[in-house]
Amino acid sequence: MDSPASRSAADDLALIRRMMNAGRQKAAFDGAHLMIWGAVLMVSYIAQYLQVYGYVPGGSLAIWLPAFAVGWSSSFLYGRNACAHEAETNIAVTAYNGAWLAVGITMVLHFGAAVASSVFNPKAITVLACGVIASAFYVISLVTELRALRAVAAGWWLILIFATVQKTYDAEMLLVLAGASALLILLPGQMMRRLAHDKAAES
Amino acid sequence: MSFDYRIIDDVIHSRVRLAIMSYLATAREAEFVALKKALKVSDGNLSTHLKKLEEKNYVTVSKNFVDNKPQTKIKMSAEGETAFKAYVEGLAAMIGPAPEENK
Repeated sequence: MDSPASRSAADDLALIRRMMNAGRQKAAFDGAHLMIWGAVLMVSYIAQYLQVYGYVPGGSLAIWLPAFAVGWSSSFLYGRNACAHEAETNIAVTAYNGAWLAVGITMVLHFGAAVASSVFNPKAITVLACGVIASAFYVISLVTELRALRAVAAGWWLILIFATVQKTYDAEMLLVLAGASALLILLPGQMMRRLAHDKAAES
Repeated sequence: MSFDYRIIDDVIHSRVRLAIMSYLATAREAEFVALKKALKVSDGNLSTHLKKLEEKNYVTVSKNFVDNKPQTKIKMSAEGETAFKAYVEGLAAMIGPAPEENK
């Protein structure tokens, strides 16, 4: 049978475990990067849709190269500014940054390979994008325990399935992706930004 | 079982301070309000315990302004990290090995 002293030590260890878990799951980041990329992708998809119908001149590269340039440079500038203000870093922040960096690198590599080989398969890039974005949101939701992000991940999985089962991949899919960028990237980013600012305001 | 009770750090041993140190061990840094919510304690209670940890250089408390609003941030120091690790190891030693290992 345990002595009172050992029971107390066991309680203390349980408290330590509980609090360490709470600290690990702290979502101390705001969604500025998501808002930037949500807006950039939404505008790009709409521009490409208009391009298909001849309202916007040039090819896909004329839209996506500036889009990637604006997205990456904005993310870089914002990230550098956040670091200058000693942004908090814990496993939640590391998972968030790592997941989105992985998404960005995957998409740029795929896009680069498509351009280099002159084989651009819009369906393949859509399925890949939906898959990696859904995975990123799912990983972040697991680490931070923000359940709303699981719904966002599920939304991207549904779009992946929708894109996969499409027999003809027409321009209207670009509007679906523009809407998804607004609802499933821009909006969650705004939600996370509000959460972070509410915390700051309460202080 | 031989256990030296003196290795248990009295400053960390208080339940609230132990909770603060445990939270900071993984969060690295926390805002006052976030910490208060996680610990479910009052402002005054948290301030008192933070002061004791600060006196021992286990945490650093910094105050600044974000959007013209005051913000208090608490960070675990390297000294605090070492002390916390030693405390946890001490507790584990106090409990001893698992029953099957005793056999």
